[in-house]
Amino acid sequence: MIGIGLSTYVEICALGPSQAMPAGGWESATVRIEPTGKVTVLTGASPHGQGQETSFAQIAADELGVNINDVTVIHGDTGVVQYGIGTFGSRATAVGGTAVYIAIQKLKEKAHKIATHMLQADASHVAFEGGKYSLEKAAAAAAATGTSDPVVPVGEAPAGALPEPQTEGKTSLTIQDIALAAHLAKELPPDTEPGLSATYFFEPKNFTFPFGTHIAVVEVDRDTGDIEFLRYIAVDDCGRVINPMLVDGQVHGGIVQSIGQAMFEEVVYDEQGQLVTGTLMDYALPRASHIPEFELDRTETPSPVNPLGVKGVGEAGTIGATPAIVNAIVDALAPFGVKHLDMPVKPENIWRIINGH
Amino acid sequence: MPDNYVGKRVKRTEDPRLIRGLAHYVDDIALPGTLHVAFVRSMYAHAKINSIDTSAALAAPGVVAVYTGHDVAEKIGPVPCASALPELKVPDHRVLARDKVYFVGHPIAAVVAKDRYTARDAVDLVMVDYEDLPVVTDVEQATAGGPVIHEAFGSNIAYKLTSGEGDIDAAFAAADRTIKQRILHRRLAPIAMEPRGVLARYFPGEEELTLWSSTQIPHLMRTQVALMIGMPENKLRVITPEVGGGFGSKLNVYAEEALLSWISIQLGKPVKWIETRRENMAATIHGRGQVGDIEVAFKNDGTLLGLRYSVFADLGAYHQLLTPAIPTLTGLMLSGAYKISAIQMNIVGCFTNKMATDAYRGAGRPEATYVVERALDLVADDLALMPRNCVARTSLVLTSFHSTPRLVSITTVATMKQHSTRHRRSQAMRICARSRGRRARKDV
Amino acid sequence: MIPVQFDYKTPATLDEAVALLASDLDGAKVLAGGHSLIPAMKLRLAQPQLLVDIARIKSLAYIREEGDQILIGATTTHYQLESSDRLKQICPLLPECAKSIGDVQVRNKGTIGGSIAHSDPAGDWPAAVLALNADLVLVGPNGERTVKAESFFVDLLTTDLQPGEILREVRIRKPSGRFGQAYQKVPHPASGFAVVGIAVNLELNDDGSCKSAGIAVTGVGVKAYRATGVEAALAGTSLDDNAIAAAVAHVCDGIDPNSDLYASGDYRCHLAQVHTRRGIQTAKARVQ
Repeated sequence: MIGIGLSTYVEICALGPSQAMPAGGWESATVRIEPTGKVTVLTGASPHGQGQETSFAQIAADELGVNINDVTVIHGDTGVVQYGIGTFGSRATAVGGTAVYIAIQKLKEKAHKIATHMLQADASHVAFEGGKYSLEKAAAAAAATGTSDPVVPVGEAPAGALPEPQTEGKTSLTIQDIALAAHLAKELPPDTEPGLSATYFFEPKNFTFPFGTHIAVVEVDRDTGDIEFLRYIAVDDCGRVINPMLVDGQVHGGIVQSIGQAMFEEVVYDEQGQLVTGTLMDYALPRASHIPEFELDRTETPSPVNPLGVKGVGEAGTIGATPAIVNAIVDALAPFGVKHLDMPVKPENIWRIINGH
Repeated sequence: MPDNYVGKRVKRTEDPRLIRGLAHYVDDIALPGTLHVAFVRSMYAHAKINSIDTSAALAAPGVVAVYTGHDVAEKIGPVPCASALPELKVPDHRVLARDKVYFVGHPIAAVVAKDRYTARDAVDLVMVDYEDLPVVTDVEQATAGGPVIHEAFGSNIAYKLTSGEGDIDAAFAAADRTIKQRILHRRLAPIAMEPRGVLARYFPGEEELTLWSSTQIPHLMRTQVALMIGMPENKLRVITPEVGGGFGSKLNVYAEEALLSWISIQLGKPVKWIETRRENMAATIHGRGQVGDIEVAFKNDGTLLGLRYSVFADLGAYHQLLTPAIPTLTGLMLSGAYKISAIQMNIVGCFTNKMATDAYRGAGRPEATYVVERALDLVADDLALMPRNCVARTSLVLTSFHSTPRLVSITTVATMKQHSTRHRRSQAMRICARSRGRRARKDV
Repeated sequence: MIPVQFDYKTPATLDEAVALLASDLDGAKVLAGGHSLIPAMKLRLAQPQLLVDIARIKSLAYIREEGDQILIGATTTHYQLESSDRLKQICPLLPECAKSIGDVQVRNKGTIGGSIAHSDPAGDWPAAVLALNADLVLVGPNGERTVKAESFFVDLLTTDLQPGEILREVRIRKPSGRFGQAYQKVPHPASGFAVVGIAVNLELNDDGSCKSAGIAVTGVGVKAYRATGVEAALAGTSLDDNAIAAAVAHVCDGIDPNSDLYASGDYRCHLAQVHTRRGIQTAKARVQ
């Protein structure tokens, strides 16, 4: 006896706009480049298994054109990290990652300004690519022949004022060069603070809306009521995907917890309020042997809510899967006139229906 | 964004330390002189505490202190609830019970000893004189008169809330057909692989406290705990070491976090508490816990006119940080992926003699998707879209699908074919997902 | 999850172990694999004052043949039994039963003797040794005695072991002639214990009719038991589907079945019938 169950969901996450949140829904980030060129990201997000030490490093490494091994992501210490809200509601990348991204843009603005000064060029002639600030070709040629005017006429600056730029003849600087220069502070443009660090508190203007469809195909054993998965298919849209492995992991885990709710788990108190399911001997968590092979696919519809286009995916699997599973079991029992079953659906429930007990 | 790393399956930087057992969870942090805390917890779901005799425990070798609710009553503020629903009843829940316990697992006393074994043994020496009170476990019965858990409130109703959009009564009046189904979302236990744990260390000279906690919200915790124990926020440092999962159960401020902080200040020593799995099942928040009716009004052609979900929310005996708010998130998503012109959610949030519920992976939205998707199957069934042909069911979906430019642009079509194999039907099916800018197969 | 304080001794020989037990008949308890005892101690349901660890007595773990007997030392682990190629040939019910227990870690530590002595109502080994009509060798302060498995399991968690006695060996007559065996188990989704566990040991006549059947059930009653009604109904039949169906109807005769959150008594009896039928059919198909 086979059944197919379908679930089409939209969910609301990346909590969220502070107006709608009890204690703030923004997230913070500080990104700095140390004198030796290492990148430190301080995030107010608080990952506890999700993997943002990796995904935020991916974002930072791409944005700054550095090697990912030179990026360290720090979280979970109020003595080190600026005030943050934390990780829940599928918000860490959508809100926390966005704060990191925007902080980096601010940092790059300053780095660009320093680079422009050090390369003695017009801002519009300096471009950032592959981790380097480079003069565009025409301006590079002019610099090589020394035909551009010095920023400060030699001999006219008072002692201790802006020194002679030491990058005469250079046509590009790495971002690490900029970071060192920012700390040595000998060649900074006027009115520029030393250091190379930026902090941003990102306030999202809306929640995000991941969506998807899950389909479960189950077979029910007539004799025992046992339920077996024949197939499990999920197509989810969580917007832009930073690390597909992390997203797959979240979908897997979410589906497993849904299987738990649909078929195995219940906290039971008796009439005296005693907790009957007090240990894992009684509370049935799904095991690997209970879980089908998942066939997963994705669409990527970037969210308009943040510049990364990320929606969040931590909870989507748990939201989409449960109804697909129960719908499938109900479908399998349709010949018996079954319209609904309470969760967790256990083999005995099914046996009783089939055998009219 | 230049894409060297983004979009790729980059291996996790977290994994080498985790796989090699080199990560530090709370219990891995060993500070010299650490004292260990074990809790005396209620074994009754509802009872008066007539007396607590801690003398035998205090006399046991290696026991340093035993604290009860009266010791901390004026010293530590209530466990916070950040939900501000209109006319919400919020019990004054303290870190240790004073005169009454109202759920199994309710902490009554904290035993502090030189090691965790001594602390655990001393727990058995604390004598509590309980007087049974009638127990309330059924959410519907809880609101129908009978024993009241928090007498000051006069009833077990924490709040009532109606939310929605459109004219629901008109929708049902205009319906050709309706369905109604009772739906149960049983309580679930989040069961993070690592249970909770707290280590607090106070430096009396500097008057600074460091609190290590397996939490999801270190900064919010710092603010709340500082308020609870009356400490300047900028003298408190909260550190999350490696955290072994949370799923929402650690999006919270628990009694143990404030209490251990306070105890460390009293004793001038580091104090540690590591939750056992049994404590975790009983005294860490549960998820879900809703029972109610879904009703759908629709036309003969499958147009959905209205959806009403009336639910009793089993909040437990008191509120943790977001307990009353979670069911309201269900209301936000009751339209599911469909065009439904009138939607209403009615919530009665109820006290019961159980642990508090709170956020657990999905936090209210799995409930919404579940009731809507089950309801749609029931509608399809009622319209006799039989055999259970996914095409017909899905055309119902398509008819009702709410398309908002840019936000929702997926259509799902499922096909089923039947063929016999060895006395069994087996069905093959393809899914087509179509979204903006991505062409997929059509095979209806 | 912390036991009450206890003393712990590791005797080098079985005689030393018996002496240690005798020194504190009320407070001493034998420890082998520990996978039933230690969880009980962590929940403080068991509070022995002295643990006598026999797992380190190497001479107590063995699988031997002597004449027509298979001799298994009490501290032989489930894993050793599961992986014995010889047993897979001569008495496959034993490795099949062993393999169904718990998980890999449990099987590396748990012992056949411990499981039998503990007599958990859902333990697997009691069913297997009942179906095989095993003899159990006990040693105590008054010497050695041999008890049939049938009389060993007395009640819930209660066996014929007298204070101070230790189970030291399981003896099974080697199946001979045309025989087929099977172990069917429905594991509880949380604990992994048998909701129902059915051990089947069939011996056939040359003409394929049933010479004798050993059918034992665990998980259903307060202790594992021989389904003598099923055995009697099968004897002499051709083991066709009708005979089997008629026989398995007796599998819960005289038993008040267990009921818990996962499975009611009625459902357990139904599962027992289904799995006894499947077990008999599997065993029959395996007959050479």
